[in-house]
Amino acid sequence: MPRPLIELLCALLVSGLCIAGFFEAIRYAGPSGYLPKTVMALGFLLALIWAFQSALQWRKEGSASSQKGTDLPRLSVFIGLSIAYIVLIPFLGYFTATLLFIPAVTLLLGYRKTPVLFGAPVIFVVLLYLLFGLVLQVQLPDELLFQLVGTN
Amino acid sequence: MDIFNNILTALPLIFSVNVIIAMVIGTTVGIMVGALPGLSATMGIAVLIPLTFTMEPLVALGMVAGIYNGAMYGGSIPAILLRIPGTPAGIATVFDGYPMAQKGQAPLALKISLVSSAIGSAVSAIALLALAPPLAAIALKFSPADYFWLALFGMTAIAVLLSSNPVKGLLSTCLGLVVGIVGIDAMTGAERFSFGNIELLSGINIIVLLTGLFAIPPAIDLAINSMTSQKGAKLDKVQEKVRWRSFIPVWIKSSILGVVVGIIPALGGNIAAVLAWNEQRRSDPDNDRYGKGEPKGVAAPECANNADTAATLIPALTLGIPGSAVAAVILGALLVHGLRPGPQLFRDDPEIVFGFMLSMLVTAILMFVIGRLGARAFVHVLKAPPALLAPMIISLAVVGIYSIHNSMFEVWLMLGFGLLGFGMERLGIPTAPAVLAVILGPMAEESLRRALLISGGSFDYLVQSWISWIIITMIAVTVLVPIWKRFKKQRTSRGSNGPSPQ
Repeated sequence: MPRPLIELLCALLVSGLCIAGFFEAIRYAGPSGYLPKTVMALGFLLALIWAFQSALQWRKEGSASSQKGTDLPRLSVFIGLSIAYIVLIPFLGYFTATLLFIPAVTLLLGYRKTPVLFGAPVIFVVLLYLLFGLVLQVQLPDELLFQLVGTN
Repeated sequence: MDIFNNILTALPLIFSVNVIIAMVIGTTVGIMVGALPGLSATMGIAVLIPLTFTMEPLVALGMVAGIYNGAMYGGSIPAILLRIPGTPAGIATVFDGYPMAQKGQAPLALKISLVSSAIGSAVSAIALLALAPPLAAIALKFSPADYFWLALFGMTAIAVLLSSNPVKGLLSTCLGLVVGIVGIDAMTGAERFSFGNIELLSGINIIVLLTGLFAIPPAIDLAINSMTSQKGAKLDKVQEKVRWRSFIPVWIKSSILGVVVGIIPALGGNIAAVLAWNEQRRSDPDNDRYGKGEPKGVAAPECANNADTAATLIPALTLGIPGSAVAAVILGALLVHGLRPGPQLFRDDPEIVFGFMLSMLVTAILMFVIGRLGARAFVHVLKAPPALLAPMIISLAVVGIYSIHNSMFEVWLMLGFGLLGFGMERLGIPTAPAVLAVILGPMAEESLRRALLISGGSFDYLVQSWISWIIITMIAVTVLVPIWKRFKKQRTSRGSNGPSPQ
């Protein structure tokens, strides 16, 4: 998709959000509403200028200026696994989920050196456990790994 | 004399074991972060801040100072060995650093870079110690109206100067202002943009935004570009001798330039480095050697980009106006520890603020020692696979954010901001104005309301002091000059594209 078209669509989306935000800000009485209303009005105006600039650019360049190729499969894998990781933390525990997440991402991104692939995440998790579990004593979700080995 | 008394009070505090360990760790991590292309001091500090949440303020700030100074030097390692600047500020180091490495002078180039960086950082820290306290004393006399304009100046300057398109910079500022509004209004008790969500009532923690915007996009970039191989010059060649005395004028000139650039909002280390390299080449009678492996072409940018570091903190600490993304992140670190940047900080917590400024000086020295001792180890950092680093950054960011309030909601929010930041970068929208607006927006709103309370609702009060008028003029110049330049450029290009005579 041409870059100016992407920008035009984003600008229109932002202007829509600003309108919605402005109507929400109208509900705030007195001085509480000054800044929200001003920001939303300014945001709407700026988004319109951005949309106008993008439309002009699109007209000028047409489909010649396509967006620089982002590696979509890699992007999707990384973001998808990151979301899955955060979903799993409350169920598996932080360290267990991390121990699965790092090798999975690294492997799917194409890295193949087995000792590093599995050794580095273990060392990393041990260091994190020492720092957060023992030194800083941060309360993290219950660990499935610790339950399995009977230490939790 | 107050400055000396405060320095003497802060000295024993920063030489406590905990602070020294924090500075050593921070400097080492900073050099490694800087050495990794794609990662910057801003990202390093953004990931680190949540981890320092439980630490004493000075321990945390010592670590932050180490990362900041270390990353500036670290950026020169891949610039010299791989021709890839590790941080944006390392860009000018490539010009002569890489040709030196090609000629087998990589160890010499790294040594010059280290010495120059340490000198630049030390000069910058001394400038911070000398200039910040008097400026803070002046700032204490500012009225709420002056503060309102100052906050507005900070936001517009960054938004307009940091982006090639001021509209996008200002849109980023609007995003930050909205994020800053979320939660209960402290003055009226009204709920704003929280949409009935209990977790949003206390507002969005600035660290969540900082970590999202500055740590997640580099991690995504690393993941996308993780198959890029990094092969460069080796360190095995015999080292040549160098006449260090001939570098003294270069260091003096570049340090001054770096400090001046650092104080001016929105410029930053990359501009300081390029200006210093250019100035060095211009002033040298043998300027043909630059760009082909001239040692002074490495010394000038490295000294200047490190001289920018502490200088950037002068307006940030004294006025609460961060002039760059990294200064905004450091202000975030202060806020996390309950310290409100601005002139009051110098009055209320002098031992902390002077301790932090001194730690910028101490970490400059530490950077030299650690850089010398670990030179070979830091070069090996370049071999770290990006495919492994990317998920590790995510894991660190997740645990750091979770540990603040034990809230998975904030982790999701951070990821949301991260994806938003990645999208913004792709669309050419700078993320730094958003962060600055989160800090400065509430300051502007509070100052405006106070000004209106004092004046009984009259807006005339906003333009009554000469300080206000100076700041208003600065805002006008900041906004109008880029518009004028753009207009002039368009006219010139139209003129050159006009019909040529047959």
